[in-house]
Amino acid sequence: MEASLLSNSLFWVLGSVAIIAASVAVLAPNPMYSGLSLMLIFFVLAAIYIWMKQEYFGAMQLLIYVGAIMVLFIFMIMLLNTRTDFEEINLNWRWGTAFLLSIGLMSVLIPAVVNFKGSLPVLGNYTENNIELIGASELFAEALWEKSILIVELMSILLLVGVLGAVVLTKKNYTDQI
Amino acid sequence: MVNNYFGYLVLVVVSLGMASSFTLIAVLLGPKKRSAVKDLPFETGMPYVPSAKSVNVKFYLVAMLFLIFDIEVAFLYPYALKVKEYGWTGFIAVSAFLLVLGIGIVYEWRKKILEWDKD
Amino acid sequence: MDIDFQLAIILPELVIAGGVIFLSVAGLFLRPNLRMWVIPLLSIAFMLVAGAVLIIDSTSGYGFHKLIVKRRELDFFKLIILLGGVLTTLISTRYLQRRSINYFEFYVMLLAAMLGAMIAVSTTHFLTLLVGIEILAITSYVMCAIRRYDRSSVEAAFKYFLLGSFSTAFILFGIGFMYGGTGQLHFGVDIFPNGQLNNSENLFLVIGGIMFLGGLAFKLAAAPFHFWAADVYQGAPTAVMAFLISVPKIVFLVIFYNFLDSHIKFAPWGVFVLILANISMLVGNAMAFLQKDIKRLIAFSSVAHSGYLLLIVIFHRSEGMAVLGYYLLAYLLASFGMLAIIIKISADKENILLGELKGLFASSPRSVFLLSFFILSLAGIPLTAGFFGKLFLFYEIAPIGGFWIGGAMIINSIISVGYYILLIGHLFKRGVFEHSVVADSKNLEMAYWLAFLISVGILLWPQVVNTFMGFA
Repeated sequence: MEASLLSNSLFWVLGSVAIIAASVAVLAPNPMYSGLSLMLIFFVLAAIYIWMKQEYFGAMQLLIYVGAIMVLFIFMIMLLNTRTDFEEINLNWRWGTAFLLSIGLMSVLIPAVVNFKGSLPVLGNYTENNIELIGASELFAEALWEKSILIVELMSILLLVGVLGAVVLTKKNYTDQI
Repeated sequence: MVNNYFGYLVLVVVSLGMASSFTLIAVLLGPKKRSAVKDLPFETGMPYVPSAKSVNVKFYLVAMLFLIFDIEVAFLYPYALKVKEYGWTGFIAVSAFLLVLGIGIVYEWRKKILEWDKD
Repeated sequence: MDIDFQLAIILPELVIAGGVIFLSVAGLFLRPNLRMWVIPLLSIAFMLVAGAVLIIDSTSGYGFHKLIVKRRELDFFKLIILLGGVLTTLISTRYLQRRSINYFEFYVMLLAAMLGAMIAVSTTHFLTLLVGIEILAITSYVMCAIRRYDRSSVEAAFKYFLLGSFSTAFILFGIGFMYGGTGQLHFGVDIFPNGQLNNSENLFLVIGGIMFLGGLAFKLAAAPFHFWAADVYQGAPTAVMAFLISVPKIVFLVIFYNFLDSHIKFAPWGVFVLILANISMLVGNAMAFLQKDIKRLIAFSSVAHSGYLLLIVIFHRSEGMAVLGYYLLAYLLASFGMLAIIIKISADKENILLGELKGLFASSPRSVFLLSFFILSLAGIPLTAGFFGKLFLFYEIAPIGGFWIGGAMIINSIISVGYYILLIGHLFKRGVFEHSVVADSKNLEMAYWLAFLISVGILLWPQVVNTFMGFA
């Protein structure tokens, strides 16, 4: 699986698109362009997931990240009053910190990828054979709706509380007499 | 692997091709008269305002609610994969889940969150 | 469909969940003047029913593929969480009406917070734990911001939200590391074979555990992760502050206890928690001396209490849960009693400075008597419930922790008496009390008399916790 990952030309195409989009996201002077290229990164990641037979995670990448997070992100940019606020912030000191952080992350990640031999321990029935036979998304469904049904039902309460909380805190002119 | 997604690839190529060829044909064949006014971004007849001032908090509320119901859908995808196998037990489980979130919808409706032109 | 369907295990939680759903519908369709008193009443009714179920139903075991566990010891903590919920409802009704923010959503949030707290207490599975913590956290943020037209309340809620999400991220990251290290999401004593977790060679496990415990310490407001506590509690509505310093404290201490129960021998985690405990005691007591605002003082005293209680998480014998339960019950009653009285004497103002307490004895002697009682209980002066709590705690930790741990706890307790006595001194100062007193709230009176009576009750019958948990 891993060998085929690196030898596949599709991976290199998607990977380079992701890297270019990431550079644009960081370097673009206009935050709108950053947001849009971030969206492109999410698209590419979704493509990679689907190509690795993790269709469910690909779909979630599109649905939740591209769909929802980006909506919030765009609103955040709009609230920050695009032109003036971003030009007034002096970002120079951040470059050094960001550079150091990414060097640190790379120094951990690159050896980890290069030295990776063999395979990770297989947990549960999420084996390569089962993924081939049943499908990754079906296995995920089993884990979610059978083993963790209690968590799913609790999540519905959590989301309901989220709806109520968002409304009670942000609705205009909200009083207790409505 | 290739066979599974070949149809999607064709769809993507055809749709991208159609969209770009329409644009290209319009650019090549259409009459062009440029002027300073025409080069401004088109904003529904209004004069172009460079920066967005103070967005209404309603947008944020809508985004938040969208996110919440988006996550609800994320839970339903795996269920849809196995809906036949789960039968009535699964139906009751998913109904309980949807009922609780349905209350969220009723709440929004009663609190008039979805009526955009009020207040 | 293979579901391990055991509703008997989660019956009290089901009652509360039904309450959340019922109240959110009822609140929508009732008229405002009816809703004003029906919703709090219903919310108390649901909590009482759940409490009654907890007392009567003594079944135990796992359910839902071991996602949830019911044990008699944990039932006791759920019971005091519900007591905290009832007291919060009692002290909030009039408080919210006076400020015309009596949203019915507040009570739905409170009930959902009870659900989250009960779930988080009664699980030994990381994901269930996380969902429980998140329900508790999100409802707490909303309750904290419920005075939404007041800047200080919103600021407090925003601080709480940012740091709370930050600590949840830490907890989640730690869980991820531990899952990577062991391939297990369960952490229960009887599920995890002993020794499998006690492997300090496993670096993933060590780092993951410390991140997990650090995130929990954030939520518990244990120093050095306490810096948000005083600001948040100061800005939060006083009624919500009473909830915030007691219920999450119960929940996170029980999580600490459940998590570390069989893994005390696992050195790195034990040492980490021991450091947290000692810094909390020192910082909490030292900073409390410097505070001018009574709510900030209580906040730092709660940091110190986290420190004492973290000691028992590390050093305990088989009946340590009973000691923890007794201490937390005494602490919860004292905090609620104290803050109920503070709500009573601050009708026109949210925050009272220590100097402004002068002349209180002349204008309202009964308040001063009760307030002194609760303060002495927090301080652990003999003949209060808090004293027995500290005494049991000392007897539990001293034989295992040894001279230094027992000594550290005693010395810190003695230091803490200093600022409690100073606080009581302010109550008896001569002068004119400038704030108006709430006189028309039966619920508020009921809340502090209830806290007083139960405090006296557990003082006269300290064995009640052991009896309930079945240690006898």
